[in-house]
Amino acid sequence: MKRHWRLKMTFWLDIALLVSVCALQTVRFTGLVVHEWLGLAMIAMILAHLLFSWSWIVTQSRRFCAKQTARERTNYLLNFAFFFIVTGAIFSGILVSQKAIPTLTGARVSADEMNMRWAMLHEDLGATILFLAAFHLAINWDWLLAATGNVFRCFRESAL
Amino acid sequence: MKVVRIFSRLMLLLFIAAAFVGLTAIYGSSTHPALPNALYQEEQRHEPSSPEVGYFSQFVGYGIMLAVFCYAGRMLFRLRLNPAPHGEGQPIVLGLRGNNRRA
Repeated sequence: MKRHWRLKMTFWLDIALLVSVCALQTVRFTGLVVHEWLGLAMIAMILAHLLFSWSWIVTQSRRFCAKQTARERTNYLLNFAFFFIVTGAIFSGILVSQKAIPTLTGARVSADEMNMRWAMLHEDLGATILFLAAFHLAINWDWLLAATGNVFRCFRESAL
Repeated sequence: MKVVRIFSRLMLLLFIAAAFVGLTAIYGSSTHPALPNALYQEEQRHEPSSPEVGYFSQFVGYGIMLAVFCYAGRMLFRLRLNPAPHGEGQPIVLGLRGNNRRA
């Protein structure tokens, strides 16, 4: 029962992250306010995602210098780069924030004061996130299929 | 005990994230890219605050792009990263001798 709850949480969290990554690419669709608050919410979602995957992180970090298959090593390096890029994107997003951060800090920021250098870096990192998310999904595809099957089987069983 | 464990893991993750933020800050302040044209800068500075449903297709487009790259990645990883089957490079044993003996 506890395992199912954990699997369901991980599954829906991952789906939320995936939708958020796509939504964050288009500021015009979400609007700047939702874009910035969703970006900040990503911090909590990513931390929760990493905490749910903690045993994998510990195991693979220990095995990284020892014997590891090419798949495991690639997955580890990909995830490391993904975390780095996401952190950079969130940080640069905070620096160019016009709505969320001024609301939280109470500072008044005019749009003309926005640092274009950081805005450009934020855009580049955001685009990189889309590709890394796709590869992250690709390398964990089998897990996703198995989790989808499990979660929807639980739904069907509880409905009967 | 469980709360302490989760808290310590969280602290470790935040510590690593802080190191990444430091590296990004160093990179961001050391590079001096050419600024884009004035029109682009103006667009960047004045993004709409509220959602515009008309741009839903853009969201779908990014979803499709993600799916395409995921498919490409899947093909790449399947070809490159899956270990070769155990029997690869080994002669195929047909077991004909055993069959003759039985016959």
